[in-house]
Amino acid sequence: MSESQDSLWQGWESEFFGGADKDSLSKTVPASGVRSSVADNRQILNILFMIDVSGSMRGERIAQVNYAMENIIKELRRRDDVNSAIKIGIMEFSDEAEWVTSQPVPLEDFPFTQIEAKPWITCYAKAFELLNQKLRREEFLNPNLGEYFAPLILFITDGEPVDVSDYPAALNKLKQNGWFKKSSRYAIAVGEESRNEEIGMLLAEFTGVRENVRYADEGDALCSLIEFITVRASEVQTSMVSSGESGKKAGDSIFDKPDPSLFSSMFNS
Amino acid sequence: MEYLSFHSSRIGKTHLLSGLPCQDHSADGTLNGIRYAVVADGHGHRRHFRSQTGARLACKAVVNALKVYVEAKEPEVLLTDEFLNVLKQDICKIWQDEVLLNFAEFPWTDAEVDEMRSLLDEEELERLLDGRDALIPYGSTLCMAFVCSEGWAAVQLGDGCIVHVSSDSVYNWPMPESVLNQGNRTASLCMQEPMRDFRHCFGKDHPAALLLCTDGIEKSFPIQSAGIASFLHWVWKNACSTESNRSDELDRMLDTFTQRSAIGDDVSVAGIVTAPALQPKPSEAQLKKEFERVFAQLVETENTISFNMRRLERLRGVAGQSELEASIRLTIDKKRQTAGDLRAAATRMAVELGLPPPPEVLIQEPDRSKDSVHRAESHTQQIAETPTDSDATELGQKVDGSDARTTKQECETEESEPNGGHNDEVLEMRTRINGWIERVRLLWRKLGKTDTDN
Repeated sequence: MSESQDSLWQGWESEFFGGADKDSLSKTVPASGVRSSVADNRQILNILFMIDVSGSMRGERIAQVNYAMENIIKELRRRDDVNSAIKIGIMEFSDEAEWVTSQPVPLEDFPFTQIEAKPWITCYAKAFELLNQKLRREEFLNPNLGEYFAPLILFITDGEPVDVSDYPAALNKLKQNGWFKKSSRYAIAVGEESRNEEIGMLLAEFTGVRENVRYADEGDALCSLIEFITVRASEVQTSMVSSGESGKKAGDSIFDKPDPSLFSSMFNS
Repeated sequence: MEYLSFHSSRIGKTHLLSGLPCQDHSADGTLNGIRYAVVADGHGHRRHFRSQTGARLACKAVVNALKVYVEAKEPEVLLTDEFLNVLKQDICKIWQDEVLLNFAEFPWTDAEVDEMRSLLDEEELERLLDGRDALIPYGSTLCMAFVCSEGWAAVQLGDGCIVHVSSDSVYNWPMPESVLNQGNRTASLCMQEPMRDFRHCFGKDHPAALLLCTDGIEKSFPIQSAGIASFLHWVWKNACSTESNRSDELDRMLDTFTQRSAIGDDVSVAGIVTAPALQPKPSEAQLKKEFERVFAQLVETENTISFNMRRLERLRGVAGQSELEASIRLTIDKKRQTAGDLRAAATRMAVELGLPPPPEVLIQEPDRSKDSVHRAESHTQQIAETPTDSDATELGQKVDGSDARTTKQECETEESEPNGGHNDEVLEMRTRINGWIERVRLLWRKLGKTDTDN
């Protein structure tokens, strides 16, 4: 059997016989009578946005995030792919964290409405805990809905977390999550106050790779950066032949080198 | 037994890139109560430069050959070696006649002749030009199956495959092996003696399905494997979910297949399948798995509805959002229909499995009324913790002239009020406190202090 035949067979195998029963040809038609469309059988890419909605994001910053999200939805819909079904999850976090979508919503059913900043402070621990809760088969990655690409996670924040004693433990626990390890993670530090190596290193701990941490001021650059990362990274995630996981290693970046705005010591030494 | 049939042919990745047409063809239909399906694969070699026409004419020849007999013969006569041999001869003859008619109507073009000049030797070219080898450019394979009241039969010339799914759901490959098909070589209608390798088989049972495909699909899987069986099973499930013979979704699925397949060839599938009501009953394990799948889809759909309704609620009264509102309503309506179908299916399966039906309410909305109270409490706690009270007081005075101790005391006083988290004054106080905390931290950092410093 050639390699190409083998990989294609693996792609269809779990679709019908669930792995455990693959040798039996006597298992046949499901009885649901529910029409199964081609879309249902596409591999699923969950794009999860973790958006800082603390008080300091109010005004131009959150406006640019909203503008970017609107454009991303339009662009991803325009690029509808026969191989992948994109689903969107949005978490808003400030002092607390909350999934706006209790499950990722299919792109075609996702109406983007404005995200509002709230008058609270910035805490990361709850955001990390909530992400850890949902990156599981019982939650966002239900195998009954299909096979998954490794998720794409984009973390957008403008400032240091207040919960300095809490978030490291939460982040360490999150890093034990298998889906988190496999995922592609990017972080954007927004605004002048976040433009320092300390923030850069903190976010690099989340992304696992310094190149995946980028800085943007609060103007058009923020909007463009969010759009670029989401669209480009989702293309990379879905461009691999289906085998249940992305061919790129988690953290392989769409950028060549770290952002000098955040990691200046690497470039000034 | 009631049967449906379907067919689809799609161009392969290789032909798409090279500008060649799709050289596969397929057809299905009914003739006097006999349901048939056929696929044909025109050869890809340059010498067979009209093979797409050859494949089309092969399907036509099958229909014309069957027509002659199905009205005249009793069904049981159709399922004999003698009849099938005659049928195969007729198919070959009709195909040859059709090809020669086509050649007469459309002689070789200059471009075609030039192409062959570079490929053929002198004698071969002469035979082509005078029509003695006119069949070769039209070369094609052929797979056909039909079912009647007494059973089923199939004929095959060249590569491709025919799969028989029995009424107890076993997949079989009933066609005898070819003596000629090896590697890229295949028997063909354009051979001098096509009957040498024109095979047939038949049965007096009533299969659940007869599924045919060309080698663009067959060679993408291990031979006679569960893989190709599962692929054809998927095709069957989706192709016959509607009454029409050609499903747009089947076409799309085959397009997906050609993109994924390393072979890159044109692909065709056709089939004759039992109508859904008569399909074999699944086992309990299959039913349970399917129930879980449908239930997961139902939860997802209900979640999508709930999310869209929350969005709609937020847009109420906001000017300039009528288009978005309309779009959201449309999504909700569409999803409600889907949810209805899924719920009905899940309920039906739950009954069969002896499970309770899915609950009416699947999505728990978060209790947001508690949220603000919790926030008020946690903010109070954070103010108490970071930084220390005395240091914070001193810095608060330095930063904005306000008395942070007073602020904290006000906060503590408010905490004792029965509904301290809900009114505008509290909200404003929280905002000030949050701003104070953030400014303190900035200043703290500028002064080169950490949180543990005094």
